[in-house]
Amino acid sequence: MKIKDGLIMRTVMGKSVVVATGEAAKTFSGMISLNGTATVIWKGVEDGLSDAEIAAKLTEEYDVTAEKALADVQALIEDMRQRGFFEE
Amino acid sequence: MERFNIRMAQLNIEMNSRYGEAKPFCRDYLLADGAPVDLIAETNDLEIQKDRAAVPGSTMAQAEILCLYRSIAEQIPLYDRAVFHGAAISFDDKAVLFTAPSGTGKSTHILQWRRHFGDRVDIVNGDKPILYASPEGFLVCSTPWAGKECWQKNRIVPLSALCLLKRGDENRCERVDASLHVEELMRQIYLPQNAAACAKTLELADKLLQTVPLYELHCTISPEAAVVAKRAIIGGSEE
Repeated sequence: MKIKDGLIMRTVMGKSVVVATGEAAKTFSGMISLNGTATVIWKGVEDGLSDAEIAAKLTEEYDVTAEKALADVQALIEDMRQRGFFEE
Repeated sequence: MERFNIRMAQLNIEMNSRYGEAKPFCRDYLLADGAPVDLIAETNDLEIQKDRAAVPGSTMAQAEILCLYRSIAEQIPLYDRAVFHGAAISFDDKAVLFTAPSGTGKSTHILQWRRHFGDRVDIVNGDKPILYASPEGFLVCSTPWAGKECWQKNRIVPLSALCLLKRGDENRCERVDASLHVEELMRQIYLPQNAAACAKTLELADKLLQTVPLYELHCTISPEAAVVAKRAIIGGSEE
């Protein structure tokens, strides 16, 4: 599972924003902002971590149970998949 | 094909035009032939036709002029510069950049500054200046691309403030926390399709908002709006 090359994430004034460029812009245009949880998940996916490893990072940073963290990770990854953010 | 050079935002740019109107459009920025160029602006008929279709009644020559600026906008982030949608004025050689969605009243507002404060105010560029993150700080650079009024003067001025302009029932201007306005401001910066240039633009935007104070102006169409904005942004008590 790899995020498309053309999707660029950067932090602007402490806010994570994602912009689509090149081929990736054909399925998604504009800009989205990520909240703190989504930023941790996005970076985890970029680093090739498993769902469980990303969930563990969330429990370190936020006051959240392991079950809830894993559910959040899986929900966001599914959302990213539906938006066409991953390489086929 | 006509080839000519311009100097803009401290860059030498080679322009390649087929439809003949780009050179007169850039007349205030022409550079002698033979100078070394930093980048090349070019387009093609497919892009020009697409742009022309988006603006009913436009000609190939007019669409080409916009396409050439897009070619420049795609490349300049790698030179620490970005195209910004806003109206830039200078007041005593310090620039204020007003930004708002098209139709909000940027042109009306900057005209009020000019009318009220006279020669102390220059309109640097009324629509699409270039911001340059120079080693000494951000500079606002004029360009020939200056909106329908074509208000521009070939100048480069240190940027002292950004201002979000909004219509209101009264005139009120205050400094605001840029972190609460990131999305609003990002919509006004040209985001290139090239991934490396886009990433660089986001980094420039972060630097811009970290270093240049941001104000929010709620204004009416009354001339008092310029006085209120000037008092908050530049300071001083003269009216």
